[in-house]
Amino acid sequence: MATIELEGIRKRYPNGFAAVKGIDLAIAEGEFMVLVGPSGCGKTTVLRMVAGLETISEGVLRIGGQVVNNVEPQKRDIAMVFQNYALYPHMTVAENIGFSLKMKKMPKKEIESKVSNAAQILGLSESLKLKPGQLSGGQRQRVAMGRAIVREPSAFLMDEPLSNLDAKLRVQMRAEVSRIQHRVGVATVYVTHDQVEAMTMGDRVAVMKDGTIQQCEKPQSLYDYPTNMFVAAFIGSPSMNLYQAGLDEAGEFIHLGSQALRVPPAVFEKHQKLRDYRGRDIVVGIRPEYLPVATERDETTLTADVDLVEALGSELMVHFAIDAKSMTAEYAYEGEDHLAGSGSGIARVDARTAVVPGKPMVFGSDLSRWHFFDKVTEEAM
Amino acid sequence: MKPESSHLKKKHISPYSTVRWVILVITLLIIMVPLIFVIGGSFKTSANLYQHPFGLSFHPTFSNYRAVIHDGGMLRALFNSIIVSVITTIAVVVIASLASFGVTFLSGWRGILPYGFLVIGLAIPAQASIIPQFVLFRELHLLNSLLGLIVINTALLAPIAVFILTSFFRKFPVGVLEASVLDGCSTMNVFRRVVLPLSRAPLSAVVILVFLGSWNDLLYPLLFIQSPVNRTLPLALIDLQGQYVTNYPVLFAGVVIASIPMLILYVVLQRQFVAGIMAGSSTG
Ligand SMILES: Nc1ncnc2c1ncn2[C@@H]1O[C@H](COP(=O)(O)OP(=O)(O)OP(=O)(O)O)[C@@H](O)[C@H]1O
Ligand SMILES: [Mg+2]
Repeated sequence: MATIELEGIRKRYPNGFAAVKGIDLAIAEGEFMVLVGPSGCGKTTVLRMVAGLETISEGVLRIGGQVVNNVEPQKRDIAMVFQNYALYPHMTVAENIGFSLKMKKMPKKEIESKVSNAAQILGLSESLKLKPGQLSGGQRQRVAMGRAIVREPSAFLMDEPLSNLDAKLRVQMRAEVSRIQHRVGVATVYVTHDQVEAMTMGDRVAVMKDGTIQQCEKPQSLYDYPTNMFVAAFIGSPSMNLYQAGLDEAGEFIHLGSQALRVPPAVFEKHQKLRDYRGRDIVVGIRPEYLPVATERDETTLTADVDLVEALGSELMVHFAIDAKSMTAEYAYEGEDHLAGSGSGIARVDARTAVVPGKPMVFGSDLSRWHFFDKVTEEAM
Repeated sequence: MKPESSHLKKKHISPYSTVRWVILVITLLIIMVPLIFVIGGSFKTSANLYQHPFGLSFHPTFSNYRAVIHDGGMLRALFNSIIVSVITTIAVVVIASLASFGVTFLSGWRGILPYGFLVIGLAIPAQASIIPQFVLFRELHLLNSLLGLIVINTALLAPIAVFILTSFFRKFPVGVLEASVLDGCSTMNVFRRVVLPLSRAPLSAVVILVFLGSWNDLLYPLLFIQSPVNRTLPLALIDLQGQYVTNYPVLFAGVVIASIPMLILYVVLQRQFVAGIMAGSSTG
């Protein structure tokens, strides 16, 4: 059991590419740290440096208080689930899972019981005698997981360990991973693209972009108080609607396209800095879930044209458009098919709402739930 | 006749496939005719061989084989050849697999330098260094001994083996090695428990190549070996020509016997050339 501390960690690959540009992160003993970020932002690189598979170009890495920059990976006692599994093709599932225990010279009996226990958890009991080549993608991924969870290492590193499982199995595994991590009680770094995994599993979530950490907070704080447009857009699904808007000189109205919305004083209480932006352009962020259906138009409502409605059973995703300029923090969130038209947005409303595509729709706007960003720096106010 | 085959018969024969067939048949003849000639000849009497060199209807006689086996020198040579080839093969496999592992996975000069030496070794034709080798082996008292043959064969064949193995290792899925390192393998264990078991195909190729190379080597025995007790098979076969000036059937029998171990080796190792041994390691 140990803490993991990264201090000013940088990675420059031999080809000169700077994949990680100065990361500070401290993961406490037993803490579950989730790492999210768009593809290519350096998540795997960070894990590989912690594991010792990649040299650290700059900065200090401590595990359990000891500087381990130059300690060999074997001696770091870390279990890692590889993004591409990296199973041993010549060994059976049981041998794959039990290999690390065998290397520790654990008695055969003990290995067997631990392996069958792990296989039980992962639903692999039937496949123990098969070779990786005979398994499906999801089964292979579970074997990769099994190799990590039979151990009781000083730290877990998991690189998208559930990405290839079906929805039901993923929910099940999510719970198992959390349970095992709690039982073993070691620092864990968990990379994922799945919003639900990020929000539900992590004690804290670190959002990465271009080799830097944008924000690292408890999931709820991250959701409620994103520090910049990137985090705001990245966290939450569907992602936050971002529009260019103008605050008038008096600070009374926010102009969103041709519509004007009255700003209640409470908003200035909450966002002190907003006062400085009177008479200037800003970026407003509205989460899809904070666009309640309203009946009558007034100076607190937002009217939008409905493009498309997705019925998800429990709720409706209303794709709409207003005549304001939509802003995209340059983010790429896989699996998110954001309609990129100008002024487009999404509202999440009750499943029983009557929505007609092609017709205008009125949304209430609780400006105290809105987010405000500087248009240039993209920082939150 | 099955419907498909009758269908095949009607198929139009393109000029391309005709050319292909002609080339195939010619190649086959080039390989098969001498083979049939030698194997058939080994069962004929001298007289029969001269009258009908390619005739295939005759009463097979085993007298030639008996002659070879009863020639004490031949059995001794067979034994010597086996000793030299087996030990050479083991030595090359051990040295080359370890060397290739190091050359491929060690970073910096530790990997490049040894590889450079081996490539240079490959580039210099063996004939160019025969005289210095002879002098060196004389000084080391390795002339006229099987050990000398083992040493020279190992030295000559190891670079090629390293070449084959490194080209295989370079395509090895690195993630698998990294996983084993994180699972607690020392470097030696990575080699023994992960790399070696996954290298059966290239290792089999190396075994066949090296065994064949040392088994058929005539140059160095001719150069190094004087006493009859230390003769290897190729030498003994040459002597066979000397003893029975024109007794080709006996020589043929000797050749057939000499090729049996190679044949067995090949059949045994054939099974190791399984494709897709890496299957299932990763995402795909
Ligand atoms: N060995 C390497 N040499 C040079 N550049 C590399 C190397 N490995 C990764 N990179 C680059 O470093 C960047 C970060 O890669 P990394 O694998 O850490 O991304 P990631 O965040 O894990 O992405 P994903 O979500 O797609 O797995 C990428 O732009 C990649 O091209
Ligand atoms: Mg990755």
